[in-house]
Amino acid sequence: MMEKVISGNDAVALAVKLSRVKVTGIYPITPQTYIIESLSEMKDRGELETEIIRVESEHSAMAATFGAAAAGVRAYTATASQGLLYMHEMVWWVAGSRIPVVMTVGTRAVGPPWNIWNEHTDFMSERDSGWIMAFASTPQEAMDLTITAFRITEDERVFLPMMIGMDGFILSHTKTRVYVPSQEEVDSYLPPRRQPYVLDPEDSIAMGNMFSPEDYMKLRESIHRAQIASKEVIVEAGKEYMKRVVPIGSYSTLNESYKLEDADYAVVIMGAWSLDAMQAVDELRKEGLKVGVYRVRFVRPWAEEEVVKALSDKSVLVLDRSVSFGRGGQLYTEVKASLPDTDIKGVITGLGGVSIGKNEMKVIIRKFVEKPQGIEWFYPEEARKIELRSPRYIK
Amino acid sequence: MSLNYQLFPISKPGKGAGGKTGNWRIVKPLVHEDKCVGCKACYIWCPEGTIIIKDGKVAVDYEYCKGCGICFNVCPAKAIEMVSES
Amino acid sequence: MSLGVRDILNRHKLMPGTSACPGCPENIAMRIISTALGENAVIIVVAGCSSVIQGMGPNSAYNYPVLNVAFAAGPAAASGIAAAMRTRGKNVKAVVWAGDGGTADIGMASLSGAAERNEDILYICVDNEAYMNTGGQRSGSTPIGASTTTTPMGKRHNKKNIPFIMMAHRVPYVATASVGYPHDLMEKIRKAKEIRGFSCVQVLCPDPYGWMFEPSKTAEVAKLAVQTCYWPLFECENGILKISDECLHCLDKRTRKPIQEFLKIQGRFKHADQQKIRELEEYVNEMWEKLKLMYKGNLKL
Repeated sequence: MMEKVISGNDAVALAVKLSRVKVTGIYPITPQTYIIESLSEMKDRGELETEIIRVESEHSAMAATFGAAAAGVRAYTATASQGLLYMHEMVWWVAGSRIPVVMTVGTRAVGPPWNIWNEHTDFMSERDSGWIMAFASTPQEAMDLTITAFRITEDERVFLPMMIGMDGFILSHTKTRVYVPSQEEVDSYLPPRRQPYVLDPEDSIAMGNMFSPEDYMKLRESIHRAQIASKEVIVEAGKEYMKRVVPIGSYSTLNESYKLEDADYAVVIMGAWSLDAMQAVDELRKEGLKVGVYRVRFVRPWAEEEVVKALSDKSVLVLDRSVSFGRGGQLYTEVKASLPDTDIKGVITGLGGVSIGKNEMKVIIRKFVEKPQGIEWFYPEEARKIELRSPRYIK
Repeated sequence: MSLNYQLFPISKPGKGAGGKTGNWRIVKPLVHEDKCVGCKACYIWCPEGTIIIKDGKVAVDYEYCKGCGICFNVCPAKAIEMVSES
Repeated sequence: MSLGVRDILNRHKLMPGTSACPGCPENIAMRIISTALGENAVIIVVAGCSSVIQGMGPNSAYNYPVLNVAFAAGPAAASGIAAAMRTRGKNVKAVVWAGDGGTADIGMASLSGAAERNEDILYICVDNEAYMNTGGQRSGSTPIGASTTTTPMGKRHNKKNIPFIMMAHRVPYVATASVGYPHDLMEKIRKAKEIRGFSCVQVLCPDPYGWMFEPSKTAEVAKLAVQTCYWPLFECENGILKISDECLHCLDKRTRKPIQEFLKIQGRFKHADQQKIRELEEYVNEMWEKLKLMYKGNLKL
């Protein structure tokens, strides 16, 4: 294991190399572009054995990655926002085919209007697809989740693809200290690739031709049950990872609790800004407020038991960096469904890259303590003063 | 943990994937062996693969033949006759 | 070397009892092509008639490993499969099986990308000149004047010339074929599968139900299309054009069979107005002028 100071994109590129990915279909999009540049550079220097297919669209990126995976090799791709939405059809196709594939989503706001900065809406739009979905809070975690993803997806109890979300620019481009495992350590952790079936003339099978309505429904139920079964696999893979590869991290549970045991108030949050929330919580505790953080790492499968156990006796604030228009934040909706008898407040903020740091978190938490209900859109002080300047064309 | 819940959208090659397609017929091909010259044009063009080679001439697999009549159309010796199914 | 009929006994890979309509030309194409393709291939079937022709799971009518993919994903998925086979050290050809809708329209970007990258895949377009699986709507490959369910009074725009577009990509091998000429088709597939790089073959598949003629006449119409010079048969190997023997008579206008013979056998041209028929004839004439120049070596796309 080596200590390096690298960004999330670098860390993910290294994870791809260490996991011995054989084929990747790539297409550039901010903020993931320099994952693929990093991979291309490593390839040209002879350090990478991955075959790179530089396709002409994100839809094709997922198609090429899927084709390679179905033909029996470890495959990976990365995208963001518009690209993820463009490949939406193929994202669903891969999950339905039950072929293990791993993808990084450098989360970014969706246009119009054009916006390249960080937000979680693109990631959250894939919740129903059947993919296992995890969200990193540090470059270290982005790398760890990518490596464990290969083990989780290729487990016979699972056989589903997995995507790892990583905050655009905040994690993808910011350099921090990362412990990078050696090739031997990763080789001892990742077993040889397994998948439910392979395209091979020696054993001809057809994937995906028509099935009767009843068969189709059973196939869909199988995906759901595999998601439920994956909770156990995720915890096993996480514990093994901490034992054999990188010992830091909190991977023995799907989600992470911080100062929650004696807390009256809980902040549910996901992504890099969880660390800002933890700093805010540290400071508020000094003022006597008993508040803790529940950091969601896995959106799918939803860790129902863990959520209920951690939060049912608390007053809950859910911070969403995404929104389902007409309903509220997606995490808010998920938590509310798990805790129907608890008062929950949903705050939507940080969209489009609006910067929310420790101080803004403290303001949000104090407001929540005063009024622990409802749904609110929060703007930091300076943002509140800005008047939207686009012209009004209503005749 | 039992893996009984794991089901995959996989199929294996087999005859009759579209059902007993012989039931679709309204007319059926009749091979007049005395006229058949064994050129196998009907064999090449049959869309269903239900014309089979037999003793240098051809025969019909009536289980799946759909009665389209292409064999009748391409036969240079006019050795195939389309007759009513009943 | 052409395959004698004796050699092809029972080598094809279509299992009888498919879900295809009686007289389906895509099935004829699959039987002929699989005979020439042999064992070592994976078929990527794009959304279209062939998705349904395979029949209902857990049975499949194609005796090949088949990956069914979304409409626009064919050539990209094939690129991935080709890369995986290379990595695994297996000599298995990735073959895309797409209709004209999946080629000329929705799959155009993916096809163009794969061609530009010279991916080691064989792209087969089974061209029945409309979206037949959904009932016969017009596609980019429908000829002008043809009646379809979305152009009942005749299509207003002319046929997108896919083989020329592919030749402009300067790929190693582009060919056209017809189910009316099986030995020619087999020869071209045998050649294409040996290419280490991108190859594509566009096969004319006259659909009796969409084109409105008797299902028993499928092979006859496929031959007529070539004899009247509506459908050229040629190969372009590394930029060198070769007109297939069955089509050499088309190089001279005087030896072409009149196109009316091809049009009048089909119900879809019955109500086409004269202006559109003239434009169709002009399209065919212009195409042959270009083919003549390329054949003589005076034009390279």
